[in-house]
Amino acid sequence: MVTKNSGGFRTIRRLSIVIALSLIAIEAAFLGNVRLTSANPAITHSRYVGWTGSIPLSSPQNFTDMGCARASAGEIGAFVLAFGAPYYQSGVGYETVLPGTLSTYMTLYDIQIRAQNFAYGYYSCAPAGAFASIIISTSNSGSYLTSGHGSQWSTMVSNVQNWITSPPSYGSKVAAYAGFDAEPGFNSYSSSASWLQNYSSSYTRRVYDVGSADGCPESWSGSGTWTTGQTSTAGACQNGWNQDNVSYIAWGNPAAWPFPEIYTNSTAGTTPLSSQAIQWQRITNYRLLHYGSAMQIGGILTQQGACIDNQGTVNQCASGTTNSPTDGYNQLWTALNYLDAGAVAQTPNWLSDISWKQ
Amino acid sequence: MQGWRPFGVAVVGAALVGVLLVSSGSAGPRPTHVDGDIAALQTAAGKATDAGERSLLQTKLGDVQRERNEELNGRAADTTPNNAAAKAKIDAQATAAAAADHPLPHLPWLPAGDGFIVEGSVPLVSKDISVRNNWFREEPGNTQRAVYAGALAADPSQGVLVVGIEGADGPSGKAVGKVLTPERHGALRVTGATASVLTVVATDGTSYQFDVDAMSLR
Repeated sequence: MVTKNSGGFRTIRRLSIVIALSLIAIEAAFLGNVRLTSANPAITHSRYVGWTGSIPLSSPQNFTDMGCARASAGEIGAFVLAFGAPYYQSGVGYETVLPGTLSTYMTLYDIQIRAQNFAYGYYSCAPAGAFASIIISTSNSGSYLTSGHGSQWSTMVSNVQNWITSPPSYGSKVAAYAGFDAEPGFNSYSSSASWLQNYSSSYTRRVYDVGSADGCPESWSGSGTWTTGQTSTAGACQNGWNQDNVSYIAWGNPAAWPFPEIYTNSTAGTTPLSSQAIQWQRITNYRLLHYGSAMQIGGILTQQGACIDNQGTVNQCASGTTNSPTDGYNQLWTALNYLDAGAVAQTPNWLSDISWKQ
Repeated sequence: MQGWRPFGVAVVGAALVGVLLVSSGSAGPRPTHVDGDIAALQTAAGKATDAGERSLLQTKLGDVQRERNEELNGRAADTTPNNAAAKAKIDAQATAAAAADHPLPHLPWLPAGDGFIVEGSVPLVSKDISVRNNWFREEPGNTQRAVYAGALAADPSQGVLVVGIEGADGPSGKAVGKVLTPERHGALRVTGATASVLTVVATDGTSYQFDVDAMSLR
């Protein structure tokens, strides 16, 4: 219907369209920025618990200072404290051999005390809104990877969390989790799964798999669409493991969440992908294809700091495993969101770099 | 009235943008550290068709929802932080721990020649080597010369010795070198020493002598 005011309405209509299109453009730009920045969360500093300079990192006060330093620097996210491989000594109990040491061990009680000191240090120095997820980690390395160790590790981490939330609670700013640096190259799947099953038999705290997927399928095709050819059949990995085994340790166990090592560098001049990023994308996709649901990657661990600390030493990083945190994150994020048409697209929340001295 | 529709779209769009901008600011409750996990699990559980997988996801969802409540409860209890009480809590722990805490001792050391054999697969960070045991001797400057015996991780039949000077600066100080057995007889283990010449035995029983200072394997 044409009215006297129809010209005015046309003007309003045109103006409305311009405004709407402008708003859409602004919103698109806004969301675009969010996506770019959210692809690289804040970086935290994790730590091999062994040495600080030439002094063993042994006193609880060291851990209070370490937690406070991270909080004071405004670090928010996950902090892996890597206490080394399981050990047991008659008359002493369950322990770990501290990483990088000849033969220095720490009892689970000593580990608990030190984790609690880290929690207090972070809590006491944290600005408003800060939060630390403290991942108290052992590994599947060595001959003392036993069911008893897994059970006791679970109790120890629960003790830390119970202490954190006991009055006066630090629970507004810190929480405790377990970590399990499970690597196919370190040990058999059966021993590793047994440790985890005993951990989770009466767990209260989640356990993050801060390990690797050594030898698991890493092939992909970059021609046309990015595809890996992953199927619902588990591919073989190193040392008798397969993709299903790795996925159980990282996700299939009720307590488990993946926080994979993405150490390997991408091939220069090709794509922002790397062997470890592809391995974990494929394991995530394997679970989707085989079980109908993908893993949710909790975080990404890199070791640039450790590589810098250990240049020229027995423990120096293998060549090609020196990703910066940003590179490691970008590699896995790209793999998850672009390979196989983004079948397992997701954005991990945490990014941490581990070192010996920081 | 049709002419008002684009205007209405614009108004709704403006409102949406406003909501986006406000939600990106400080308005509303601060998210917890597990909100992202909860959202992802809720989506995944809603899509899961396999009963076992759905049960797994529900278990995980229950875990993170409990953690969310822990953080929120912590905030409720922390509306007026009492730093003195927080400090007293860690001080009480220090007192309780003092009796049980102890200096970090060592694994059993077996005297062997100029040094000691340490049994156990002490892990090197490098995954290239699987260590079975090691031998070390004290050296000036509070350092230790260590010999790790084992095999290449990628080839367990290839015996290897890794020598380093430790203790001077961080976890491992300085690498001295790596020596491979001339033939593949399996992983090596240090079984004894005369002065600083080690007896190392491969998995199949083949025995070698390794002179630590000369770095020679015979």
